[in-house]
Amino acid sequence: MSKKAINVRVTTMDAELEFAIQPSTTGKQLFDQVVKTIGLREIWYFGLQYTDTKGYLTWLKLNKKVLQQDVKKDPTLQFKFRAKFYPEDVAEEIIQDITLRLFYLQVKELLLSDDIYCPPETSVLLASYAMQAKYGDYSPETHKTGCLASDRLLPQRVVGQFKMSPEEWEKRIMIWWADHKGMNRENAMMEYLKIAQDLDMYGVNYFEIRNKKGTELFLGVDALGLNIYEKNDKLTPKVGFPWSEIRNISFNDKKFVIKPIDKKSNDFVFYAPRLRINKRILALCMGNHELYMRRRKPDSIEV
Amino acid sequence: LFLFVARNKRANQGTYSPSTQEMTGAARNQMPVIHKVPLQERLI
Repeated sequence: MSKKAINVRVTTMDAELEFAIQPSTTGKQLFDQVVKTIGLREIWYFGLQYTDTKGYLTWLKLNKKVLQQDVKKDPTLQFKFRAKFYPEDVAEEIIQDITLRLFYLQVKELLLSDDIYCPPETSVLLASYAMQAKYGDYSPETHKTGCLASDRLLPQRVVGQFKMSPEEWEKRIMIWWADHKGMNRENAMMEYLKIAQDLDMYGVNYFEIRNKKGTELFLGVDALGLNIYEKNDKLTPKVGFPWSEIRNISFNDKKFVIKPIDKKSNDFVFYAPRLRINKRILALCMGNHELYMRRRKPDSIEV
Repeated sequence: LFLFVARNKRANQGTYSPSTQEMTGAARNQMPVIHKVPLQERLI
């Protein structure tokens, strides 16, 4: 191996991979190596995430050399292999087991860490599917109270909302778990995702923005378009711009403009805290919209 | 696409037109292209 080789560590949701790359290696070459190693073919949802030298979480550009992208200089360069885009319907789109598992693990992590809001009842139901996926069928003989003590079962917010002991939570989860008897791992993960994808915050990329008046808001980018949220409510959009209703989106430095197709509606102007946020917003819009269009062309997405 | 590239020459500006993409996308539709490549960020 040449002296110039650079060590790279890529962590997926369930594996840690080590590679050596050359200074000339592009993002795509690294990405291809990762997907080949894990046997993933439904690659269009995924990307490589890294922390740049300024501390921002960034997606690696595939058409540029890895070393030209401002990756934080550690002896081993660190990347996370994550879903960047979400399917509109998991049951329709996800084919491979590995794709299913990576989405399941990523979404579960977001739910448990409260990055996606989930009501208590749904959290318990989701935990029961997670247990089915992890341990198989519930059996009263082997799964005694306390056996889930080491599992992360519920979001902290949900636990804090009720005066219930861990054992009482466990019991509730076990009741549902017993209901899933006979369901295999993949089906349990799929059922989990089918419920999770209906949560309001699922699949939304939020950005802190300000309107012309300086009011703080959130912009959400997802598979179907752009949404504007008030600062205190990330669940219900105040205004929505589906892709089909947008003529044009553009930025100039920190200013971002959404132009609706309908000439009678006003342009929506907002300000991102930094130029690089606007670049990220536009890139996410383009990627999501491209997948949106591909889904509406029969047979264009093939494994 | 050319239009897009041309208009993104300045690194502090960018623009994208979903409606135009959907119209030109109709033409691309006729080509038997199977996209296997993940989406690349086309910004500077």
